Amino acid sequence: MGVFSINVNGASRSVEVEGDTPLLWVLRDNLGLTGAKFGCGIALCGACTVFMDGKPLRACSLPISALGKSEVTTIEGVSGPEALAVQDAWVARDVPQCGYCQSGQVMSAIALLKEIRKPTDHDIDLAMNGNLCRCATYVRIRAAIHDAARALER
Amino acid sequence: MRRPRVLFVAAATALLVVLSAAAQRTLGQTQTFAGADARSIALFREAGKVLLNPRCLNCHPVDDRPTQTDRMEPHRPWVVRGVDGNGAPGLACGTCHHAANFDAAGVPGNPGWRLAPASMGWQGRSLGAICEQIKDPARNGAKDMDALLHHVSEDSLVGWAWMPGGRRTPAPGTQAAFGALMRAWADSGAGCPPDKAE
Amino acid sequence: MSHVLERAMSRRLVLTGTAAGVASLLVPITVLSTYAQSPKEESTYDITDWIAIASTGDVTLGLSQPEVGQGSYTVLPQILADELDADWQRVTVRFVTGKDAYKIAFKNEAPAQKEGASMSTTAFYELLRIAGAAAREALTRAAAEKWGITVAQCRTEKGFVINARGGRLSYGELAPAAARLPLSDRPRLKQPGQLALIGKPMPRLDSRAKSTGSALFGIDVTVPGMLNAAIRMAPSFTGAVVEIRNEAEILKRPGVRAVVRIAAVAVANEEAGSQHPALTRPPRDNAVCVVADHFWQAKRAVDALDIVFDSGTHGGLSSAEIDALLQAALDNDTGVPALEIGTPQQILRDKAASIIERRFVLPHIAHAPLEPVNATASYRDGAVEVWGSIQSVDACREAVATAVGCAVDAVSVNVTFLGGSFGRKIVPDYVVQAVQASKAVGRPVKLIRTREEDTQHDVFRPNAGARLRAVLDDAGYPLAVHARVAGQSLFGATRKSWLDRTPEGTWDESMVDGIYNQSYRVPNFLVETVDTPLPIPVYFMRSVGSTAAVFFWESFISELASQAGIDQYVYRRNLLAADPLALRVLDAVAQASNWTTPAAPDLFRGIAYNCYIGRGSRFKTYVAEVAELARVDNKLRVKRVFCAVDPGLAVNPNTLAAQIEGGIGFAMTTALHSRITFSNGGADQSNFFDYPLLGIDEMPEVVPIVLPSDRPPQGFGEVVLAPLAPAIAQAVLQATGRRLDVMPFPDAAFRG
Repeated sequence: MGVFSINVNGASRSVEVEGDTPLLWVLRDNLGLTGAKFGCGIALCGACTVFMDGKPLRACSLPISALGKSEVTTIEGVSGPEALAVQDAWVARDVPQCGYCQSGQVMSAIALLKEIRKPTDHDIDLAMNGNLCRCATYVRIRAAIHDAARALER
Repeated sequence: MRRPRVLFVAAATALLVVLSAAAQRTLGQTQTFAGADARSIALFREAGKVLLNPRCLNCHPVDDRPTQTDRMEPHRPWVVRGVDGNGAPGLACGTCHHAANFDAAGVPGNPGWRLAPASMGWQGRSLGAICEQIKDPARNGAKDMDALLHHVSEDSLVGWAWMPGGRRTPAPGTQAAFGALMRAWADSGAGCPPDKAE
Repeated sequence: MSHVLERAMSRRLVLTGTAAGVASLLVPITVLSTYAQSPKEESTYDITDWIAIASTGDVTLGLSQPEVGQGSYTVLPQILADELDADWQRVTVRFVTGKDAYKIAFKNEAPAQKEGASMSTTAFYELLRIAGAAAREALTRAAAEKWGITVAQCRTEKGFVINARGGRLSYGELAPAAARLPLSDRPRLKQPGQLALIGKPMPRLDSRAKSTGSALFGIDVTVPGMLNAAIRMAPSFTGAVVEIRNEAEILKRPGVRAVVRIAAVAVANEEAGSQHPALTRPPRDNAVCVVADHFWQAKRAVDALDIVFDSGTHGGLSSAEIDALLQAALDNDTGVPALEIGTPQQILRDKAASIIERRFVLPHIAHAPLEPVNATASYRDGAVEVWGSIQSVDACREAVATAVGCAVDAVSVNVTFLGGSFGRKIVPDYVVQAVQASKAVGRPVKLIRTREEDTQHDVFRPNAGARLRAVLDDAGYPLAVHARVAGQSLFGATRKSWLDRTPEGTWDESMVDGIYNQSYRVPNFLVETVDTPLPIPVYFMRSVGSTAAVFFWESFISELASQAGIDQYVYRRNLLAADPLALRVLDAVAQASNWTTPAAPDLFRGIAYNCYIGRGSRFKTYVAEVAELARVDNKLRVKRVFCAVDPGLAVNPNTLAAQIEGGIGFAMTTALHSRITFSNGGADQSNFFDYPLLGIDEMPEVVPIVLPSDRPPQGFGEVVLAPLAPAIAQAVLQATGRRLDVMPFPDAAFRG
């Protein structure tokens, strides 16, 4: 067990956990931030996606001991024009069905739009194929990303 | 131009003996050689046991997509080389792979984790073709032989092949042994197997 | 009701406000009682079992159906709100339980509160319209009395009763009086032209919460004093715990509170006598769980436990054995007849030289909801409270009561959003495990299964195989058909009372759902089943037996058409000539896909049809699909799927379209990827590397065609799955001449 001081959603938080605890479980169990979800534990489903220093991270893949001073942003704390555009598009299109994967989908979509303002379908395939959706809401995920891109153009 | 090392024949032979005795997954058998070229090629073939190992080949695809596991299946999720070997926008290598192996998540890691450039794609290529690639500064990242040998002996990401974590089968031997083998190959004239069919 | 959710840490996601203009949303957690138990801050009045109106005018609509992604959270309240004339922008949805009105029966069974069988809208549509209308009438009468005028002189609009002079009384002001009035059980329902919400593509009420991480799923629940648990189950389905060798050592780990042996739970909770006798039964322990302060501590501890399991009576169970049983069953002399018309056996004997035959095999598959099964349970003083992703409230209560030996009334269930279920979370095995853990430690426990445990201890969709034989008439159409389906019978393993009984034995309609009740003209037809019981836990999975049976049947029809040299659409059209509703969807999908125009080069199409008949013949939904495959760089890819449906009234066309899109994607995973194999008595696959799901890059375009209908709402959640695989297979046949007789389809089938 160790005490780790970490930066989450702009605030400094202190947790006492085993060093090999994945960031995902620190967020969920120690900090009560349950937006990032557990789906597989082996970085294959994307449900746990957060940002680390603004870049997407599968939170199940990083032990807390390796986080250091990096800044973590979760779905609860994500902001900015891309986040607004994506979440508004998600709502307007009614993307979610069961909704369990959608925190991860939204974070990955925001990250994509931060890097590529007008992604093509191929860009979307490459950025999003690691975010699984058992309900297969993929048609609307794709449409919502295009909608968000258009909204950001204005 | 390098000066041939004194006693390098004996040294190289002795090296091979040492390697085969020491390494659990053996690298090297003592043999007699028909000539210097044949020995050089034989050394490279020995090194080929590392170069053609899945731990190395998985990140040296000729196309855009790495492979995974000893069976060298397409990497799941679908990730690609991207502009600089670090993946496509939105799904960079660093999304999942970090500075160290994290066995609890089954994800390998290394500070340099990335894909080799397309010019260093090896999968499906003959050892002879790989040999030419490795020696060619136009394709190997502008490395001369010293730099190349330094790379294989010291580079951390190369070294990962011997400490892959989880239940992954390590490459045979050790990085030190591999480095020594490659040095012996270089010293013997860096001969390439004639099988250049791509 | 919020007391159960108070915690040390602030959790804005538990009680969440919303953006202006969006229907106010509270995550659907509630205590057992109905909302007769009103919150302390304001007076709330129940008007019908479904509607509570606060003196402020806020309207709370009761939802009885767990929200598993199908959209009931929006669609069912929509029905209530429309008849009620509530202000849709101000309604709140709350999960309710504890009344008979909230229960349904899928078939011959005691009614229960549960979701499934594509039944929610169909079963509750009229009930909710009546409830909404009755509440509106009561509010109107209350207003009329207050004004001293007649009901005919009043009208309602968005939460107000309005009189001819423009006087207005809000529902909030009227609620106390309305709640005292007797309710009409035959209130006047709105005319179609008066409907404001029903039939409109209303936005989902839960989209924002689910897009911002604030929606609460079972796995997110925390309750005061809660501990966390991880579990490891015996790998063999007939196995049990023998010993734990390092328990003392593991107990010393930081945060670890207890190591608890868990008794086996009957899977077939609804009908105890159905379960295969060899499956481990209570009181034998077949699992061990570690209870700790935090989940990761529990998981690492249970990984480190040195548990010795035995492999039970069927530790040798393997896929080879299962497949051999299946093949033998297909070649049996006889099966149990589900249907016999005419003299099929005779004709097949007479025309033996012309028999066309196909065989098919499909594996067991796993549900794999993205939220692995989990439950939070608190056992105290002989009573139990449960929170989580529960698809059948009553199955859960009964199973828990049986397991702990208390009355069903002593078990209360709080239902959250479910992170996918597809039938899995009806079986409360994981709940009973959590209850056992809680009982052992004397505190509430949240038990989460890892993906590995969830996959390996799923309640699988059974395997199925088929052998079909037919001879054609002179025009090339089926003259006599003999269809035999074999496999592990779902009803036989879980609900024996649902089996059909004949002098020759019992048969399971789900095994031949889409064959014995199919619509094509077949003058001589024998449909048989053969049950191959297996010690494998199985259960209903979205579309139940129809995905297998319709794959067999439609693939066979494709074969017959192909051999007769007749276009696949024309062939089906002729066979459906007497069925106008069938023709309607078939024609619509052919038209939408330009079927009669030759396809572009490197584009291949397959067409399939099915009429999905609801359990107990509760509904009929007509579906026809065309799958378009494109060949690029010598690889075939499913590019686009057209799906024409006649769903009766589409209460919410938005959520209906989502079910079409998602249902096709779900069926794609099954067709391309899903297979569970068995060895050493248990399942082989464990996570998404060996049990992959479809990714966005594989998802085709979907073109939904929803035909208007005067019929009431028909079931929809499962109906579009079955025709997809045979449509793809037919397109592959067209492209390469290769026949697909197994799922998942081999990769090689899509090359060339």
